Amino acid sequence: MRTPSELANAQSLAVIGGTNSGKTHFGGQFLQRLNEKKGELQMRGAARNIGLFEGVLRSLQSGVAAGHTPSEFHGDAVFPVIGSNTPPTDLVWPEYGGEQIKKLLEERRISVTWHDRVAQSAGWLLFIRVQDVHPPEDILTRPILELLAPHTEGGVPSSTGSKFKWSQQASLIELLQLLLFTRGVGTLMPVASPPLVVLLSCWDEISGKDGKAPVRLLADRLPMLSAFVSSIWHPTKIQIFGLSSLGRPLDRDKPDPDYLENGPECFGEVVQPDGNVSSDLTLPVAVLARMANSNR
Amino acid sequence: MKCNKEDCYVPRTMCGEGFTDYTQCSHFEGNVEKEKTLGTPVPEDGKGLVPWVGSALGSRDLSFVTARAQCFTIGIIGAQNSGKTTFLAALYLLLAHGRTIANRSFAGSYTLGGWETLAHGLRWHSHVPPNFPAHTESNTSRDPGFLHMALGGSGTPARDLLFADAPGEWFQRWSINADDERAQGAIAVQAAADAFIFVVDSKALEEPQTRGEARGIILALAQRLSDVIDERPLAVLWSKADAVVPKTVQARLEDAIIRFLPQSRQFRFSVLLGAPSDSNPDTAVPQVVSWLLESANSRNHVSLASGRERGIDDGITDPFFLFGNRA
Repeated sequence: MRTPSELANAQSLAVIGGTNSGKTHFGGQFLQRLNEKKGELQMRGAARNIGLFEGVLRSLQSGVAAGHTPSEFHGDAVFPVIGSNTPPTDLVWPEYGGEQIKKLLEERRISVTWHDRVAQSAGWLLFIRVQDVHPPEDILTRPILELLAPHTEGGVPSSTGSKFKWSQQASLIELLQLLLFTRGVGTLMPVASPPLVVLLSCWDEISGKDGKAPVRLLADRLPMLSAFVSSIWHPTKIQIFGLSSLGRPLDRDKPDPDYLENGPECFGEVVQPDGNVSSDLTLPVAVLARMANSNR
Repeated sequence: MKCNKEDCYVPRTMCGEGFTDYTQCSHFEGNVEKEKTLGTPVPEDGKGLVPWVGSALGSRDLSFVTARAQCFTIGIIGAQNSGKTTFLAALYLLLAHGRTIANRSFAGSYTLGGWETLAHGLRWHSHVPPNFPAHTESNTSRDPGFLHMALGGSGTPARDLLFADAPGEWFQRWSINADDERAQGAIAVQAAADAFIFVVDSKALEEPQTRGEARGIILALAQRLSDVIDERPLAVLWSKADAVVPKTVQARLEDAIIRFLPQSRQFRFSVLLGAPSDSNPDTAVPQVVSWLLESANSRNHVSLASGRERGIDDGITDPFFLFGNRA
């Protein structure tokens, strides 16, 4: 049975990002921009299953941040869009109620639905929250003069007791490797399909940006991930944006007076690959859609 | 309780799906609709959604990596505690910081879990300094663990590297008796390798009480390697180069190693402050790996044994979709 996207001959783009990666607030503001009809992309018919984002937008209109995604929201959320330079495209949040990324990385399992969305999508929109965290310090960045006696327990060398978990970079790289493999994309040749747009979300909370373009910031803060995506993807099929959906941190409870006065339409911006800033949050999706369309 | 399927009227009638016990049918109310998933939670044998788990690869797991391209395999040889694992951890950390090796940058790894485990030992944790990677466990298996990384960059096809990191104990057994059954693991490493890093523990040579035994193992390993090395390049890595080894001890040992392994080249390495600048990981690690790659290229020696011996089995005939996309 063909999906509505296929029936419309629209290409579909998949939103990929863990919990707290900024994709939900983006969804709310993306809806706001589509409603406003001033951006590059417009709605093309009825959106499907976007109750969650309508709720987010209501929260923003009340000047507060949206809470965690309630568990009753599940299934795919779909925004059908189109632009004067952009073919019919569906922006899909696959199964956004579930913790699919976590499951994929920890258990190496993927729901059939999510697998199909990712495998069939014409492009990927990847949300990464860089935050203010630099890569963990290590012996190269913070050398030591001498080796201390190894911590032992019962004579057996053990770790310092800190819980081992993968670094953020390694997890993101593994995620991309898993998705590429699941989709059947080899990485010996530069990847052209699916094209990738990376959104460095919560851009406003990153300090020390010094006017750097997003690609530069990614190389500074997540250098191994930056090297990986540059090596794997064809240079014309990857773009890196900065994204601040809200423009500033919002509290869950205390309303922000500027939001109340001016509305969420006055907040939120993207930093384009060339460094230019725009309030049109539909731009990264338009860019991805065009990269995907040139593969058809 | 009833059935959610249209036209099925259990329990008054037979289950419409044919289950003799209708409570087993997924449509029966009260049965949680099981989410259909691909892949399985990763059990011990590592089978899951994808043919890699992320920790080190055993030789049986390698087929999907070696099937995609010739892998350049580097065998790390050395006694227990000589610093083999620290070198590998430092290599990964350099790439984690975005450095290039031989003008190539990081292009993926199927053993990220294995690398991250090593890196954990060299990272600071809440102001507690690193206490170095845990010893590579010696177990009853004779299967060395392989760590994988791909190096590439814009315009350069990715090169797959495999590092065989085996417990020093295996090499010590090999040095004592080449026919020791317990040395099979060491022999497996050297058979798989296209190139070697022979790690020599400067700290053990610094201390008079450990010097004799250390020298004995080093010379025995050098001899073993010289018996099997053929034309393969070998980097001698004087680890813990912050240690102060008496010059005569150093010089005699260097000479002896060169006599056994004339094609080798000497490098120094240390991760601690105060060591000679040429032993700094930033310098030494890329130098060692570049030299090995260049030497192998120039001699045109890339082992085909990796692909041949492991073969393409397990039904994975085209895991990287070189010959066609998956439908």
